[in-house]
Amino acid sequence: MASETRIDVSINGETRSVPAQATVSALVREMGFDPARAKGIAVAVNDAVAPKGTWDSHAVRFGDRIEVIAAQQGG
Amino acid sequence: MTTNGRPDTLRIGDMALSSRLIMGTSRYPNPRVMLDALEASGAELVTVAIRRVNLQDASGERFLDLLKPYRCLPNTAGCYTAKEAVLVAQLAREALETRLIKLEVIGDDETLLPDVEQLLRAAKELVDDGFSVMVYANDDPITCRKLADLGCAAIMPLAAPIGSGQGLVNPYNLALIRDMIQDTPLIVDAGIGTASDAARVMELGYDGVLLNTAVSDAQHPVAMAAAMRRAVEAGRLAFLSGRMPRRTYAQASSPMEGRIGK
Repeated sequence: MASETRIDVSINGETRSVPAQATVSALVREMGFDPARAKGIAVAVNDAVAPKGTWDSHAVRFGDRIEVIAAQQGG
Repeated sequence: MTTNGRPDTLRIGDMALSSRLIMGTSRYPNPRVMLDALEASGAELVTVAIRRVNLQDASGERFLDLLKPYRCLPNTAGCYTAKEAVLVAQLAREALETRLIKLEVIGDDETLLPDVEQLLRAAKELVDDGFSVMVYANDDPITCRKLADLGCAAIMPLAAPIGSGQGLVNPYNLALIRDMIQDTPLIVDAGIGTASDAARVMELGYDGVLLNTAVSDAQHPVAMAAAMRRAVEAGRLAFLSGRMPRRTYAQASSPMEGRIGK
């Protein structure tokens, strides 16, 4: 059986190897969030917001720059 | 606060606030002090930053949980270009399900003063995109008027650079801005050092005060938060009351008639 194909993407500035065809939902789940109840976080892929409604169908691609953000202390 | 028995409501876009003090949530010694200070301040609206989730410790949601009693105003702090600021604002809208944004576009690290060219560009784009933009601005009347004309929900000139605690370094400009902009809420954001600064801002007729470091870096943040609450209320009441005219010479308070031996 062929090993799972993996691709490199950037998540919050760190290069990560993820399964090819991984969705934004899968990445968010991997980070410890429940994609279905993800109030408080948001995702951008290549400088464009990935709306929550698209996470299940949005497969990331090789070289994508993914930003996952949350609200933190601020003035 | 009420005046003459009527609520003194601050309206920013479609938001109504009974407190005219907006508080930051940064730099407190610990979360307990922050929460106690926020409560003592009476603020209803608090600012938060938008930052990358720590991949090793995704605790971002928990910070937001602390702020459940408050309405959150996300900021674009740390952005140097309109493009960055617009993306951060859009991410904030998605994460917090709010149209509110405190727009900051900074020109350099030393002063943290706004880059006006980028600021105007970002403000226009965000207003056009349906945001309720509360914009951190230079204390320049022309820039502030342009931001108001673009349709920003509140204009927030600085009293002094962020975190400097210098107080009102150019009260003349702040007064001019108030005189020139009557139909958009004006809030002083940044530079407040102590309670009298907040009172002076309100006495100039400003609609509110946004501060963080003056409370978080005070020796007793919770007590300073209470002081700021009273200062904002006192300054507001003084403004609404109309100060007496300044006179060159003394004018006796006690009647001159009826003095003994005269």
